[in-house]
Amino acid sequence: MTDSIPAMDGTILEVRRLTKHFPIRRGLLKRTVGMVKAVDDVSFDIRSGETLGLVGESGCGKTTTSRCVLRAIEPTSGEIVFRTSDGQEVNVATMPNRELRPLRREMQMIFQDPFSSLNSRMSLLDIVGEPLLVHGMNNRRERQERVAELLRLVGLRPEYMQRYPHAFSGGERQRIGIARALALHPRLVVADEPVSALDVSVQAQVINLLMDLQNEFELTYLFVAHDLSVVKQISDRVAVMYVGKIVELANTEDLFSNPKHPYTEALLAAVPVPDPRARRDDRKLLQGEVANPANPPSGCYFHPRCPYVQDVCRTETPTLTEVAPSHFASCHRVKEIELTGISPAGAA
Amino acid sequence: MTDTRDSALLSINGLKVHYPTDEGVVKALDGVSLDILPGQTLGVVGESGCGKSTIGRAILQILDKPGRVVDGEMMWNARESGGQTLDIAIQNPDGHEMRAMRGGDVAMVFQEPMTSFSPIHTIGNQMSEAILLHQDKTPAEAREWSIELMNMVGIPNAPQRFHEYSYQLSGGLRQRAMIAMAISCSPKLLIADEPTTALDVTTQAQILDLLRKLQEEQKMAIMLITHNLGVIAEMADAVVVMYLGKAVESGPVDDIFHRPKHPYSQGLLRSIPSVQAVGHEKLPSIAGSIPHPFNRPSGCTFGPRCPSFMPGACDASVPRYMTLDGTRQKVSCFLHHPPEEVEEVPSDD
Repeated sequence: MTDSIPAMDGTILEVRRLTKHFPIRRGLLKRTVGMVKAVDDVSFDIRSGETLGLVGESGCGKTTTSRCVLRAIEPTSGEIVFRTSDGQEVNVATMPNRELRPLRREMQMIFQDPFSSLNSRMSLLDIVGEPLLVHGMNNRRERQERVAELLRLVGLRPEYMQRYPHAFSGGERQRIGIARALALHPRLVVADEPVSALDVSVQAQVINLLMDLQNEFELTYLFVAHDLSVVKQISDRVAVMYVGKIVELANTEDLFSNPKHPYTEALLAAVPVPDPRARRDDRKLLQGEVANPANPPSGCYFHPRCPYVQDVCRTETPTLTEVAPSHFASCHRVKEIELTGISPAGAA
Repeated sequence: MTDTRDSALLSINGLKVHYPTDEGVVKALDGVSLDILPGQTLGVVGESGCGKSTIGRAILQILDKPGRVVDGEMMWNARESGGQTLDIAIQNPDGHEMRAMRGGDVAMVFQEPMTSFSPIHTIGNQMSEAILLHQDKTPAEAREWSIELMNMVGIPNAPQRFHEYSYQLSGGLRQRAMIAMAISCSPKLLIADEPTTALDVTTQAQILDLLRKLQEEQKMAIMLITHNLGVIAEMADAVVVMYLGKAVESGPVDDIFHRPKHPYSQGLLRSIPSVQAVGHEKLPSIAGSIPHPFNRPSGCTFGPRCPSFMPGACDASVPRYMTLDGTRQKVSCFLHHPPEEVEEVPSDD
């Protein structure tokens, strides 16, 4: 399965057969009675300068995947090959912690909740300046200047440096989180639901800011979100996850207009479109609920909900294969079925 | 708009709800007017702090302390069912009328189905309680009716689920149970406050579908409170757009989405990413952020963020909320009906 996705030139990150199992412990002795396969044999690449969107419903493993990439949690197995700024290839998955630390400069994270991700007892100067301090910028003046520069960059006034997070709105706090992530000139930024806690009018500001910063600093984003319209707005390519596996991976336009996996089709059909004239009364609704990752179904994990299910789907696990140029899907029936995507708006 | 007021199931006029706190008065609702017609879905849309949830709670008189209705009326039209018109705003929250209305004629579905159910009573127990309270049924009949309702809302194995606790149900099933409980006494108005916000997108589609189906069968009106414009577009017949405790625009759903008149509605609609969008063009965004409740701008509260801000007009007086000639839209903006002393300024759209 892994051989089907060849590494491309300019790849900054290669994830190969990544798995993360969480043990389920029960009883007095906390014996392990099962495993939750949160991430189950996931492979993808991220090219330098692009945004890869990782999308799926709750419990699909998108956040676990993104945390494994930064080694915020230990992967169970698999490789995470990162290409450093000096051209070296290192396997983040197995690196000793000591060697990992210098690498952290190059990989940063933006969190979902702008309220709990900032320490309320630290001023902006301390919050944004902390990574600088940790990585050896000991001169306070120097640090202040850099923090001022960073705040300006994300659209906040440097005068606010001495204030504390409670004085800021959700959108402003998210900007602070972005400034902190950018402090060390990272090359890869993992953004986990960075706008889902924000109001609609503020959400657009933060998406625009992320896109501007990407252009200015040639950032690479792994953008994790459940909101398909946000993912569409910012991503160059999109990977769809279902119960710990990537079921489809393609260029954004291809994936939305021409999905190749029945789950992607169902997701797209379920998104409410902000236009009353686009109401689809005849749309196919997915039945049932997301499978339990502790006890996934046999064969294709999606088969109990799939409208196109056949016998083979119940017994054999499909693999992610290239079904069109740069378009990967894992479905036994991909060649036989015609799926509907989203048709672009007319003169909206 | 006397014509709609007469036929309205619920007509709210100039409703003000204030929360007196140590730091000052939070004006959660600052003069809101809207009409809900029988059998229709009214979408109430706005961002955090706009007061959209407060409306739903005010209708049921279940405002969090110390909030209270300080002005305005909420006329509940009970003539169809042989009753009289009742002003909810002046009712005693603990009085007979309000207790009969809550869960009876008006029911509510909350955002968080986890916290809305009691964790120490079974789902069936809680459903039966509501039925026994409002209907003349024996416990056995209430049980039967509960199970039928659970079947109606698509809960599999209803007789078994009847004996389960809320934590044993998934988010989607919990919301279905919540809806089953809400419709148990055939309400005329269902207030749904962010009913799908905590749910995944495929589950959201199922729940919206269910609400549509139930509305058709039961002929009930739905007040759908949400921040999600996509959900509004799919569900609503009419829309009220709120900002900082006021309705700034209202009208039929197609007009609001295709001919929005208020700069805030226009900005809001432009700023949402759509799956139908082509390419990666930057989203037009609304400048600034929602002001703090103690720091309301004078005049039109949207003024400081408004691209069409007119100094001397917008910051001087509050625009009236009135029907635009030749439309079914109401809007409060000086672009559309300037104050007397200011000359008409052409709108920029």
